[in-house]
Amino acid sequence: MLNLLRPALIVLFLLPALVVAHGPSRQKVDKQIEINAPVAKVWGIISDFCAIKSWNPAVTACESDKGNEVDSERIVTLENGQKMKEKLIKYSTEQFSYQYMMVEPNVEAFPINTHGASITVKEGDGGKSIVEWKGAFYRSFPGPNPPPELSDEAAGKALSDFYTKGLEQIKKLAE
Amino acid sequence: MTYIRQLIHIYALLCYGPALQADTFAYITNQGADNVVVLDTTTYRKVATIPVGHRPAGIAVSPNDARAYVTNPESKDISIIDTRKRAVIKNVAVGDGPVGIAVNHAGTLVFVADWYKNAIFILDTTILEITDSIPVGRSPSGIAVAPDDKHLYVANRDDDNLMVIDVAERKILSTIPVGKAPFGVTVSAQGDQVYVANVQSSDVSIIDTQRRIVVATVRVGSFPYAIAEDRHGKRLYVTNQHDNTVSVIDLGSGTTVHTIEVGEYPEGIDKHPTESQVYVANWFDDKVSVIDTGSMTVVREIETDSGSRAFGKFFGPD
Repeated sequence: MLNLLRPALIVLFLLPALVVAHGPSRQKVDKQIEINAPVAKVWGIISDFCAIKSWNPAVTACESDKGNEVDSERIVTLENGQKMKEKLIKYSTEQFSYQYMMVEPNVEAFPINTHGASITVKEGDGGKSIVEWKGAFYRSFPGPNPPPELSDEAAGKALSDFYTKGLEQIKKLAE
Repeated sequence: MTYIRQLIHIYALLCYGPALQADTFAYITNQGADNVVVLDTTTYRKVATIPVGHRPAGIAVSPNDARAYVTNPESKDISIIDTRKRAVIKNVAVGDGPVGIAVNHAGTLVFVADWYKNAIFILDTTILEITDSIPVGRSPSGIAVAPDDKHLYVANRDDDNLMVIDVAERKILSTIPVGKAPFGVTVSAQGDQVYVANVQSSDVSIIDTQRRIVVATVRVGSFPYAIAEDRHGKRLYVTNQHDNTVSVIDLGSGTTVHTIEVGEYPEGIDKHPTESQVYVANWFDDKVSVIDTGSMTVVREIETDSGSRAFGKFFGPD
């Protein structure tokens, strides 16, 4: 039980520092998947900022205040009940792409800060599509020696799994 | 007559020869590859790869003694490179998270900002040991040395201020409020101004070093990181991490006059000694964008390695 509580306790203790602080090295996640369906069809599945609740099995709910308008904020609820608040920064129907940014960190969602990402549908070979979901973040632990569950590696793996689950589901929905 | 002419030739060679014959190199730290790549700026080619510590970030190239200094925040040390041998000659443990680094113009002192220890550590280059430290504000990030080596400027990211430090006395002389989350700091070539990139307020603070006050705040792009000064063109070039662009500020009008598309997550930026070009390290794209300052366009891209940061002054003679 204490194991589960530990990250939360550390976070609460360091809360004043958390809002601005993060690790010194930004981390990258860059995932792609090839889908046997045309770009327009795949884009149709993901084009709504809140469609993530349909195409990522790790997401149970999503609400947004301004839909697909730039500056729209979405609140994404994860399987563990934790919420992430994200803001839409760029949206392009022509480029089949949108870009968003974390509004504030939630260590219980992912132990990351300053997370920004973009998701894009590109043309592949022979009428196929490629979806690329790429993002960058810092670990949110504000000190030099994070416990293993809050390290760069742990954060990177958690986010990478989240991206992969989503991309695999988009493929299932499209094909 | 011939004899005099010969003497004049020899004199000219002695004065100007070294400058004309020396190549200029760019030393780019690559966070993801744990190395520094050396770029020949005449051929735009990678000529060497030097393994350093873990997740290298900051870089400071000595102006006169064939050394380059690199911060490795995740191995908590600095790597000291002999630029002729193109190899690390020593690693020195520093603090808990060394990021910003600068060397003075005499080449005698290296300053390292540790953003967990909230201090500037000082390395004496004659013995290559840390000999001193100066407590500063919270999360010191970018640092820059005045042209006369008398003052050090330090941005404290979590305090939203810039400190002016008397190097000889190791004393804080002044604390100047700037924008939100100040990061990169650059001093003008004349020493009359200091430029600070404020990451979270998307602007640049321009400080008068004599009066030690902010004289202008200029809006740039999203999450600005670092700044290069083009003294001749009277412009500043500022990397915007989240916009994948460089903002060009005209110092005369104090406004952003141009925006240049570069690679993804641009970070470190520095001006080539000839002033005709500015190099930008793109962290996500693993490459450097070369900007021509005359046309304010990207004229070249050079592949580097994973996670190029190059935070600091990264040009040097070999």
